[in-house]
Amino acid sequence: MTLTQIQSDYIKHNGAELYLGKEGFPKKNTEGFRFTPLKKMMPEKLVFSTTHQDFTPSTLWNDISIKFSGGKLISSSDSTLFKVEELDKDQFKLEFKNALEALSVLRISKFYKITVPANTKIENLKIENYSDLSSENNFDACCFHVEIGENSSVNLFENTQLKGTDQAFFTTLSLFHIERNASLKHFTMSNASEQVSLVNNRKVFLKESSDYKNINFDGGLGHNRNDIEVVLQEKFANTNLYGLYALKENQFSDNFINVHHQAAETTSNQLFKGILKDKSRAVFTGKVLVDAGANLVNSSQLNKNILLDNTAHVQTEPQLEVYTDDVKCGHGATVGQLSEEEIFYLESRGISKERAFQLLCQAYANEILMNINCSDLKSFFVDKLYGHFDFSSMAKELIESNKK
Amino acid sequence: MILNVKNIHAKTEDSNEAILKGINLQINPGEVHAIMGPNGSGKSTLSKVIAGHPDYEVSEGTVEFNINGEMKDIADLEPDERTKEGIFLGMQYPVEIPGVSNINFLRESYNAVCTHQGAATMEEEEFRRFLSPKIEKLEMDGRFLDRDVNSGFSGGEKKKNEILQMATLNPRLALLDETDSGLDIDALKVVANGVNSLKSKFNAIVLVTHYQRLLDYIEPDFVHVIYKGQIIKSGDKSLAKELEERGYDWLIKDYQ
Repeated sequence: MTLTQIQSDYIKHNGAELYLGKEGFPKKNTEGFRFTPLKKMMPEKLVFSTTHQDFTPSTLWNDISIKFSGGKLISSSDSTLFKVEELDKDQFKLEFKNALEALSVLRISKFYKITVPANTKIENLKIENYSDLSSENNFDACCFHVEIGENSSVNLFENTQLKGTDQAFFTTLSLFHIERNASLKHFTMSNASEQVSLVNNRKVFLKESSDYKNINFDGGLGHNRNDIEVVLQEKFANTNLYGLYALKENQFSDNFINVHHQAAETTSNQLFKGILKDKSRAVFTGKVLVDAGANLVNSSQLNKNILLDNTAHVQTEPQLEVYTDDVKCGHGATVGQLSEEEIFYLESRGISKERAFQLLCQAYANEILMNINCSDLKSFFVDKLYGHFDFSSMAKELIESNKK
Repeated sequence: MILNVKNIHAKTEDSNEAILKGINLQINPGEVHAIMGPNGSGKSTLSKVIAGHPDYEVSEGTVEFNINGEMKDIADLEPDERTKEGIFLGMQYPVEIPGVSNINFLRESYNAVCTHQGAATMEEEEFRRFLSPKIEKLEMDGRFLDRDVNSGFSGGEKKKNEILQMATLNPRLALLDETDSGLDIDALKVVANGVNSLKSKFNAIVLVTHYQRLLDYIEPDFVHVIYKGQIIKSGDKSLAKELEERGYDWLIKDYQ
């Protein structure tokens, strides 16, 4: 679907409102959306308005930061380490994969290009992405394009905070081009009230010997979909994708990952872990595609889940599509529960049930969190995880059920 | 008295048959008791019931423990509360907990017990200094502290780690469930020395074991034989020697 097509549909639908359900949006039978309740995620009528308020950013990494509100640039640190340009959306060159991607571009008037020049090192760069969707405005989008120059290395924390009182929808569309020998460590976290749904579309293109590492934490969103595509275009490119989702009540998290090995001797690793409580639901679809001729590719993919209640639900589909012989690809998925023996062992050492739950959830998450090499950011992620579940009432429930 | 087990009957949640069928046991400070018996007789169950393992349901009888000078029924205490009052269970199969470092686990455990008992807690550096002589005594490699709890430990290392936890928490009642299993003779001596050095007139030790071997190094004051969920004979250390020579058959034939 092209932008012109969706634009003409948009115009057909009376300027300010776009109706869901017309041809073009993924449906239940669309591959990759079979378990994604898009109808529940999007308001029936998408209302566009323009409110770009300032907001309070998260407490860490504020020295070098870029702030977006409602998809619009609010501020950017004055730095020689990077450049931010505001560009007209017609210059956003992308063949849209689906209407959701097109919708993001349709929603914005400008997109932002963030350029890190060659041979630059940035320890703590932050993108704060905020939107207040609590009034009549129920849909916002943010689009940006990041280019990391040759031999540069960047630690980037992307924090998305969304506010909304009624059903609201937010999309991001981001492109990353990582040049030769460059590396990007990308830490992502999203927070929103449960009425808000978020769809992140991200495409990452990797040149020779470049490296992209993403550590994502989903916790505290109503519905969340991460649609991530990583293209390893030249030899020795590597990507590590780590995802942690902690879900409760009726939350939904959907990780749709596509790793495309176009070149020989490229490597990739995916590890996604979930902790699910109540009636929450998670979907993991991880696909590794190895092109013909892309020999000596080494790729692994693993999805692990812990269900804290028997009402929680996981759908996991690791997939491999390999068009060459000389590769090493592994994939797997597990679904289990917290071990009662581990809980008792901790308790028998004087540690309360509540704390035992906390420790075991953190221990489980640690396989992901250990990849955060910045201690302040790691504590931030751990605090979010601890704050997410009510471990005290979980402990009480278990004590009560043992007594019965 | 430190522990008074009165006519305890216990079963697992999903079984109708009781595993313990009326156990009585009194333990005083300064005593070492050995619990012996053939496989499946209920030895480990007894120690787990005292420690409050949730898999076991007590259908009859009481377990009383001395708390602040008074014998109190501990049925309503959660496992962590029992530990905070001074009960320690050294496990037959110590559990591996990947993702939690041994040092954090030990310190968390020590601080939880200290907080309950009104003693001062320790920061990591001070705690490492506190652990250092204990680790040396157990001939452990100090690097174990920075590895995940029991993860990838050998059988002997796991058992030493249990005794290190006991030494850290300094319990008034230590229940050591088959601490000797999986230990070679040198490790057995080290572990036994560790346990002996923790023995005092203020605490009591219960050794659950299959073999006389451990009792050569940790001398018991009393030996009890459990069979089919009951103590069928009690005696002094000579009973263990007799069992080693004659087996259990002569004792259990009247109960089959």
